[in-house]
Amino acid sequence: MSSPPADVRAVIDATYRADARRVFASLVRLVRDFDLAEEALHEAFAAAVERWPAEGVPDNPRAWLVSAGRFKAVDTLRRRGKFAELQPELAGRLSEVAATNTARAEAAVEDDRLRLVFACCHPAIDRAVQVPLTLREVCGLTTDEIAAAFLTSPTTMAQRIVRGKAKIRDAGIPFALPSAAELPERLGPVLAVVYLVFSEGYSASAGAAATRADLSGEAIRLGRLVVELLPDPEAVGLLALMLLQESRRRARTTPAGDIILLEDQNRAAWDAGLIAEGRALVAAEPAGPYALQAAVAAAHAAAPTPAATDWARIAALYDGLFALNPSPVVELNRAVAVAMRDGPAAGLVLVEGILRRGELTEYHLAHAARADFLRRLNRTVEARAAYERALELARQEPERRFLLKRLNQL
Amino acid sequence: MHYLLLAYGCEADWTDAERADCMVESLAACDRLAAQGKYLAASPLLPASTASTTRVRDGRPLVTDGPFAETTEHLGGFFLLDLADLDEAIAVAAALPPARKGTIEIRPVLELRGEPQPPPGAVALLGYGDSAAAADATAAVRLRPADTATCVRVRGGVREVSDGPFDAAAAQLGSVSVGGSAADHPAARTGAVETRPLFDLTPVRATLSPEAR
Repeated sequence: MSSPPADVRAVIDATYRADARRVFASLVRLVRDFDLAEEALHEAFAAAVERWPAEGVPDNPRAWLVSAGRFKAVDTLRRRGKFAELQPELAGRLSEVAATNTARAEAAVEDDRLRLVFACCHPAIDRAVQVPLTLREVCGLTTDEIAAAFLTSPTTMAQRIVRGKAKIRDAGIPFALPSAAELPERLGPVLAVVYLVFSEGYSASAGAAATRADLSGEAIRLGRLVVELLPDPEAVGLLALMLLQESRRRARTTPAGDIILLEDQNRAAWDAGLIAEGRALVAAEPAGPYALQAAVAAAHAAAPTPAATDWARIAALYDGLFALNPSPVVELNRAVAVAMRDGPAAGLVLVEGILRRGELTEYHLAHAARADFLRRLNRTVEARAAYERALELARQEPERRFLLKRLNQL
Repeated sequence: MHYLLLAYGCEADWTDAERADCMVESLAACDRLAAQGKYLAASPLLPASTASTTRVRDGRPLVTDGPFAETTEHLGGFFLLDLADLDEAIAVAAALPPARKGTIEIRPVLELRGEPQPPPGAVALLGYGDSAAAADATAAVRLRPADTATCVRVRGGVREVSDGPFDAAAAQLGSVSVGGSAADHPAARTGAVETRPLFDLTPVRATLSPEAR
């Protein structure tokens, strides 16, 4: 095989980066075997390297690659002698997908990618498996990259991915978009996985920084994909939430990795493009948990200075969130917003109520919030004790440094 | 694909009237599935107090009274169905009455042998620890390993789907055979075989009006 001219090579490289996982999703749907599809994907790109320089780049490279991969997969099955037994069923699927792909080449291939997301995030797959499986099969991250991002050994991650693939194959999890009736139940886990991937990439815990930022980027890409094909208000809300959180990435830590609180961040460092895109997606009357959280993030993003923050709006949004999800952590966030709206004394009453019920007594942020209210009320001795309690419970190093700094400022 | 739906639950949770209603409702569900060509076999089992468990060690059968696992929740019945995929299996399981009180474990079938419809008075042999089935059974279902299992429950009208088998004992269930001898069952040599008589549904069916059937 001769080396192709540089421009064709560049087209193939770009196609690989942009479309490899979409082609893969179609191949998985066709052959229903992750490993066979992965092999066929690489053979399809090898065929492109061989043929595109002479034949020219096809009009629809993605459809060409799916078609080439399909033939390679059939070849492989034939070599393995399995084709005869699979033939009737496979032939049916091949013609079905070929028909839809021709009819709506672009959309059908994208649909396949979303089908793959729904299969990888199926409720019959353990959550600990859903996340790495989605990153591996939908986003195309390597097992080593996923393991590094989640601070787990590559062996453990590889086992989870193998388990997930086997479950999909052996239990008969379909590569299908859920029906409208099933969608609310099925979309929940997909959005949860996307947000988990995002949060893992966004949180300040240890791990290779570059890989973690990539995870947030992958999550946003997945979020866009879901919204594009399924503009459910909660999917839109999640995308808005991720964009608005991501907009603050550069401003939220010092170069040394210390946390900078929202009120102390340099708002000029917030990414205006992401904020504009995120705010445009926020609903006027948010109803679901992601949409409500996105509206909170948008209220912060809209304030040119901390003093200009619309705390009344934020407190009202937390009322809505608490009505949907009456958890003590939501209640704690609501207490912080109320304290900003009505003063620290009002927040203190709420947070002490939560602590008295005993639900968050081991949660460092509850004590940190209480300490902050006491500090603002000039009740220094009590504030000191509360910061010390928060310090005892905090696990992440940047959070500990932040609490120590506050304690020393008293 | 063939799926075996295993209904687990606590026998004490059911009153006699509830159990009777469950059977009538399940029969109706089976009739609907049969009309769609999706039904192969189903039966409730007699209570776990009727169970005996056989192990063959050094060529000698050891029979003990009681079920394989000392748990409060037991296998109460099964449904063998021919369905398109796991999503259909989950939808069918969630609509069956045992899902509302207990848990339905969905296990994909590795191999199906014989005429599945159990005759009245038949005995089920539950093979634990080995997916081999009784060689002399009139019907046998070998299951895929437990890590392919999915559990479905319905609580307050909301269905809950989870990965994995119902519990550690259910994880070891490898086959269900009807008829045959426990002592000759391959699973008895390495694991154990629980013998459970099937509940005879003939009287229940007889009480149903022709329209209800």
